[in-house]
Amino acid sequence: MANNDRVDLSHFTLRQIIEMEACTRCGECIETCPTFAEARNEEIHPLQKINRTKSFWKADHLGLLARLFGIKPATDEIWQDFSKGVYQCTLCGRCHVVCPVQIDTRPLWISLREMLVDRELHPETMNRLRDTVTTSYNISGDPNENRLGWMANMATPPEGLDRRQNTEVVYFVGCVAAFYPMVYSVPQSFTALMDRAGVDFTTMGGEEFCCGFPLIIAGMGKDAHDLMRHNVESVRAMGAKRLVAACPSCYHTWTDEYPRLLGEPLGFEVVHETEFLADLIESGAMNLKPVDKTVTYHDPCDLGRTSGIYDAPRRILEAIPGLTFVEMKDNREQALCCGGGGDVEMADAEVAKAVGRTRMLQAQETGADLIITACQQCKRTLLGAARANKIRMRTLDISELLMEAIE
Amino acid sequence: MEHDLRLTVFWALHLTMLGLFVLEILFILSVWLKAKVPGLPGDASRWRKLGATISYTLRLIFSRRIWVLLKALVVDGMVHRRLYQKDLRRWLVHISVFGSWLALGVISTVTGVIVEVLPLLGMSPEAAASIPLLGHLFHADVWWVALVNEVLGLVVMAGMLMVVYRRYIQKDPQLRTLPADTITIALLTIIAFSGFPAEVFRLLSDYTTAAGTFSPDPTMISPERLPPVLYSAWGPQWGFVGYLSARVLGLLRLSPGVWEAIYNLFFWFHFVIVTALLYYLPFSRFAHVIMSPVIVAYNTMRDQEKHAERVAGERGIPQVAG
Repeated sequence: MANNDRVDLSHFTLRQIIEMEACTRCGECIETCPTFAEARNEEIHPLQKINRTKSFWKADHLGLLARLFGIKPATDEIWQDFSKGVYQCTLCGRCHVVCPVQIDTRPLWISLREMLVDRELHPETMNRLRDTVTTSYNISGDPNENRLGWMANMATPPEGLDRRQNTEVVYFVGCVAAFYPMVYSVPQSFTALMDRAGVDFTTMGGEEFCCGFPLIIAGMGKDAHDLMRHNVESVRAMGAKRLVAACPSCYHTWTDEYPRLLGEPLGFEVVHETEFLADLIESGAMNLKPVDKTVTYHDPCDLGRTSGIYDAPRRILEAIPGLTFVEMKDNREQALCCGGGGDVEMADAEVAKAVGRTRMLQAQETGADLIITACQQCKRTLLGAARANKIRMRTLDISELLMEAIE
Repeated sequence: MEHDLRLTVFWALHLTMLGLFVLEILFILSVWLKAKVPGLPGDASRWRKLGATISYTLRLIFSRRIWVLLKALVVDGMVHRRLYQKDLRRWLVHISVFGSWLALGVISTVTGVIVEVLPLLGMSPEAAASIPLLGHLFHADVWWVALVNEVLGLVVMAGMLMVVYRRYIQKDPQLRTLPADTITIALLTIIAFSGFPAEVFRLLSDYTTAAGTFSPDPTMISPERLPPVLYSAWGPQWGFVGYLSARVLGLLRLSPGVWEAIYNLFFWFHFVIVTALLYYLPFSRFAHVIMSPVIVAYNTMRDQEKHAERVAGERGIPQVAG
């Protein structure tokens, strides 16, 4: 679609159109937006994005009536600035938490991206992402058969990891854990824990495709449909009863997006690593030894605000004897983003780094020895922020911490 | 007779303007329906989308979910619990403006029904004014009606002053002021402040003798406008600011005709500004007054349901209109 065509309102739901009208312009969202706090670009914050979007569609669809009330069509420059702001959002959803009207902001920001993709006003890097994911079936562009490359340096890798049939559990590894060596330790720890606990599990191996999340949040959800269908059909064919995801974004996509796309239940249960591990600990399947450390916990946006899982990781931390757990100033619903969400790294890497730095400084303020998270992307981003800013604090996934605690 | 002519012209204009406003809203609604309605194919007609939306709304109203929705509407949509928990001062400003406008709007609507609609249905003014309690709304000079209007009017004015202070003098850093915001706030402030002089000049017009003396007495008003059944509750002095202002201005000893002319001027000025605000409503931040209580109630209900679903470990397919 050319940029001089009218805004296609079918990118929005009727509820979203009404939500934009319901915005009170109170400004609560402005100071809570982690990327606005770093970039100070007025086009980033929710209030401006909503205001711009309303102006766009009103100018295009209400004609003379809109002109009468002072609304003019936007210039190309305004559209470009708007696009930059929209893709600098990490989709952390913190604005929803503080919004007095409870506007469901995260899906709205994705709709804005769909509109921008439709008008070909999205960053070029998103096209490269689409090409990579739809041809390599993962976000790194590596051969997809190498999805179990993280097993290579495990001393004793669990048996039957590659597409064993009719297991109780399928572990959906996720692209970041599978292809970024910095976080190979996450699938290594998680599979070792399941093995020690006697869980009957396997992975999809090279048949695991990207869950589609990076494309959905880029505003290219339609390009993810084939990947999504492939994944569901593969898991169904494997006959597993449960799918466990350690990546919160994959977990959210499986639980919310897949049933929506299919229009029917998946036919198997989807749980997150933290829920799974907490249940294993509470069922007595793991014996934990004391860990004499002070830790703080970073709530991943897609696990906390998007999926509502706050207690499971804390249940795990509380179950480890000797461990001292301290909360950061902003935690649970109010947790700051690590900067790794929303494909912002691809659109504006500097903003993503600045957001990560702020979160690491907040973790440092607690005096903890370790920052624990439950997301490989958060771990990767926070590790990078710690190194870049010389913050001496280890970042671990919760499964790695448990590996230190297991007897 | 002159007064009746003014009201006739007022209602004729008012209804015409309201009709045009309804057309404006219908046009905007027709554009809204170009958006997706979950559960329907993307190319569904706007009529089909409208039908699905109405059907969903009716199913919601006639379900047990309505109680959750109503509770959220009151607690979050009307009382603004979240703002109260966050900042008491801002909540006070907001509730003083929103709450007072809402209360004044409700009183005006009920008054309109009693004064204009019931006589059209054949009820005499005396009978309409005799309806227990609500009949008192037949005239603004019934003591408690005067008092309530006075207090609400003062609260609205104080609230608007605080709004102006916070946005233009204090310049709260979290606020972003667009020209559209300034127009809306200006219109609201003018409406709030022009109501008082209109009331003062009405009192002067109604209660000034031919000799130019302000000497209020219920019998000075025709029984059609102030039925004798209300004489015992008559008490314009309860509208203390307006009444005292009328007393002071009455010392000018102008004729009732002059006061009536000035009153008419303010009446029509007030009317024009209110109409302008009404037309501007869908293009201003003022639209949230109608939309946000509905959305906050719906979203709060949905959030609670999602939370309950998660707690129960049930993750089903999202419902229509999600």
